[in-house]
Amino acid sequence: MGKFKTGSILLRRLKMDTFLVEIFYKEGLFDAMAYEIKKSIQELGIGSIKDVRIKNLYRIEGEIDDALLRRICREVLIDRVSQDFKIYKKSRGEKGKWTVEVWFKKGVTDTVAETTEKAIRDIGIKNSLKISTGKKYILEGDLRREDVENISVKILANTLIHDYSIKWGK
Amino acid sequence: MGKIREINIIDADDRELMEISRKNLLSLDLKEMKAIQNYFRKIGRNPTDCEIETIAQTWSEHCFHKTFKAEIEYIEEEDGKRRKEKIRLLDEIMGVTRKLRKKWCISVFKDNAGIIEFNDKYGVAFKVETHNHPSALEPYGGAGTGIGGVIRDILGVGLGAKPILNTDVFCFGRLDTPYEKLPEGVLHPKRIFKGVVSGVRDYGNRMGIPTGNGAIIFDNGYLYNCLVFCGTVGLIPKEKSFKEVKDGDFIVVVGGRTGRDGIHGATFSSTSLQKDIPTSVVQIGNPVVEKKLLDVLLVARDMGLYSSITDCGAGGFSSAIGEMGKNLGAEVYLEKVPLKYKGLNPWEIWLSESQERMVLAVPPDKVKKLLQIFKKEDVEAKVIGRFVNTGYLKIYYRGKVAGNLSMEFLHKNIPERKLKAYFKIKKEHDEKERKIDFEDMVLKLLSDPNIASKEVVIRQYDHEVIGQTVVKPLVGKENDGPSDGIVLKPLYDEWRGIAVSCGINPFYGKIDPYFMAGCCIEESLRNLVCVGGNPKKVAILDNFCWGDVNDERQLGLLVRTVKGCRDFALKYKVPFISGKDSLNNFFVENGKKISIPGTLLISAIGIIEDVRKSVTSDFKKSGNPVYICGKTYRELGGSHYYKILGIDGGIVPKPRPEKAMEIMEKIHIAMKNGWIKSCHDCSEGGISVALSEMVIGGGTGVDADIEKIICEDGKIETKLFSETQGRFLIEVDEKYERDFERLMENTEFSKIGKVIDEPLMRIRKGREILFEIRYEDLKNSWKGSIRW
Repeated sequence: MGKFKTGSILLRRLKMDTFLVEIFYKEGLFDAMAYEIKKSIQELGIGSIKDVRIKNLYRIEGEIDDALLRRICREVLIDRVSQDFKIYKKSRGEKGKWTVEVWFKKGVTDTVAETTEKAIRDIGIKNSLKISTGKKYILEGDLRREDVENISVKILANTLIHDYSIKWGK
Repeated sequence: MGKIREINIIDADDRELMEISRKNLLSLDLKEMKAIQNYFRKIGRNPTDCEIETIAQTWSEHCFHKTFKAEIEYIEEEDGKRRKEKIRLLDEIMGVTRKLRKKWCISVFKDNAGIIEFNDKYGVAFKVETHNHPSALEPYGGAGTGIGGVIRDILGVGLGAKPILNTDVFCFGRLDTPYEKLPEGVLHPKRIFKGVVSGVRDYGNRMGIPTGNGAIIFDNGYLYNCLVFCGTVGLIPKEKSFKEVKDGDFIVVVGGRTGRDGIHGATFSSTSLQKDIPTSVVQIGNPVVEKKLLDVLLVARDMGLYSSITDCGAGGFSSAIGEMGKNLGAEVYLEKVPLKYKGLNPWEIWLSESQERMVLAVPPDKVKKLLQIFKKEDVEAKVIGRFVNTGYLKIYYRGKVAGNLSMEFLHKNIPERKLKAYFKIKKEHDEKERKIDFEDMVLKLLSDPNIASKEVVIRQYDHEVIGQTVVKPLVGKENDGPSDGIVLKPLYDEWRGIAVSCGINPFYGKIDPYFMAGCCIEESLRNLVCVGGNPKKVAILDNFCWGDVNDERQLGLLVRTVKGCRDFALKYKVPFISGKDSLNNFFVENGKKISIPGTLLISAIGIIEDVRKSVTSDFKKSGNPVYICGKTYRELGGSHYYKILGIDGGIVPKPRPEKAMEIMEKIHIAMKNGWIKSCHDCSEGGISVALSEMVIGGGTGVDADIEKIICEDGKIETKLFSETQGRFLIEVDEKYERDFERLMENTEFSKIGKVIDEPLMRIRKGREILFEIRYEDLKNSWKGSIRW
């Protein structure tokens, strides 16, 4: 445990940069969590919800470039059998759908991020990186902004510890 | 940043004192603030922020149990007559244990958990905690850290026990509550339910500890304040049961880092819930860190590397170190504490309730070895100070004094509270008999959320990990019938086992909490006996969750409950070994205080001589006779039958300890002889529900004649639905029918029918068939109502 002596690579100094990674299930796989959220939305009385998809978000800041980030995604962040990832510079919506992004408020302990940082060090990457985690919900159906607002507060985010933002994808 | 603030209290007047208490979230009353003022006037200076916070934490309801230690003037009114007495609640509870003098109680009421004897080498520790306020606000994190906290309690009892079982009991508002009815800032029960269950699941499962016993109560009294009870059982070598900090020991903090999370948890949990809550009171758990901590701690324990240990729970270092150094004194250097991030003020470091941290007292010659072991296991450990015999708690930060308090003042000079309580014993009236459709009523009872199968919850918990579970939370032919309790076999080379069960029923408390206490104690006992426990070797834990105890009537309910606990525990001869109270569970809406129903949870732990003799509740074999032990009385008050009919009145069940104990002792003998094939206790829903559940588990049928039930009256509704205590339904191996009957002679028991091949429950009245319900219908009703 502790330090990995072998396989530790000292990378060339990289520029400071920020990326956003989306992790999602491959097409056709059952996402139990998304199913559960869809049901909760229906129980809330919003029957027009057609589909819910969930993406896990990682914001990665530090000495990093695209190549290194791809390695981290493949080796740490995804389950290669069932999941895939996409890298962005900025968050984005999806055309004709509502998206809700949920992040921890500043100062709330993000244990998944802590573990991710450690896992990255454990595969030998010693660059200084700061990670935070969030979730992106993509909602399909005939929904008004008030509906999405209601869903966000009652199901997706706990405003005591989370910030959320709603976007309509034009 | 990094600043030490001085708080001007020397010159403050009464109003300003209260303002200081309110603004700093201290939750101290005027008398307490004045005591602090006097102390600082005497030493001629103002307190620092660290000092005043330390005092507030140490004196908080959460840490010091002011109400349970207070002198209460209690008035009880019955038939217009008033009786007055002075009572201290904690003395009453602890008095039971003292009077019973059970030799097998190793450590009671003085440590993080109670310990009883398991065998020559080992003891068993048990503790149940509540985590109500955090769970109401952030169900997932709140429940997870609740479990994490009680596991650390077990790790911190004596020199550390190994956790082997978790238990969980929840009280929520009804799941069918309309969203519109909820005030702002209150989460819907469904959301709380899902969040709490997944929190317990994720923390317990990741720790590799089985979660195996529990209960869920739904009532709209819990709409604003849910209750979350988390328990842990641990195994401890007897010689590790005690600890003592020595002069000169180093203070070592181990496990997680310190951040800003959970500040003011202790004082916060001693107040009511309101709309605006600061983010910092929420704690976020990290089970992976705690699992590593657990593993390395047990190694260090076995090597004898530390002389004392405690967990860093409510109040953080201030209460952990303050408590450990109570009889000596301590010096702490806050800048040495490993932090999650920069920018914490000294008082925040001192107060933080960041999870997964524990504090050790390590003799100087063992520090090096201890740090080495922790490093090897990748768990952080850091020396942050020393216990020294000065009688003072000295806190330093970067060379400056952040606090210097006398331990004597901190722990001995706590102003005593004087409280008033009032309870009026209501006259109970019997209700007239109702005309109902029996079949329909049985199915309604089975699908009532309080009775219905909790499989959807149980299946999310790992109850098999470590491979010690003998009687599981779900039993029967298809592994989906109800279990009265859990049985573990903790050692690989011995058949001896541990049984755990619980009793909770706030509905009886609404009529008379005195008998609620008796019923809860007996129910936990009956559940233990059902799975094979010896009724003469059972220890219990109390958890009181109450509303606004500054209200005389609410406190009166609590006093009446404690009196019930005292009287009945003495009669059943079961000692309390540990307990916990969570008070002020109320919500303020439009200036009105809404208190929760007074809730008592009794958790029982017993030793089973041979787990191979354990019995489950499902019917086993067609042809076997079925008995009811114990007489039925017309006690429908607070019953689920009345709840469904919407009746508030009625006679509440009264425990009859002498008769019940005799029956339980005899059942235990019959079980040891192997005569009993299945056994189930009659509680919520009465005989009808208990019989149904035995059919559901067994997948086989029963034919029973209610004429045979020994009953106070001839009414069918009494026989089917009364919740009289002290009753068991028992399937006896037909070979031993005679032996069983001879053993039970002189007790009230009768053969009511037999197990049949046809999968249905047939209830007869003499020759006439009253009703029949098919096995599938019973099962569908019971399993269909709580779905995820």
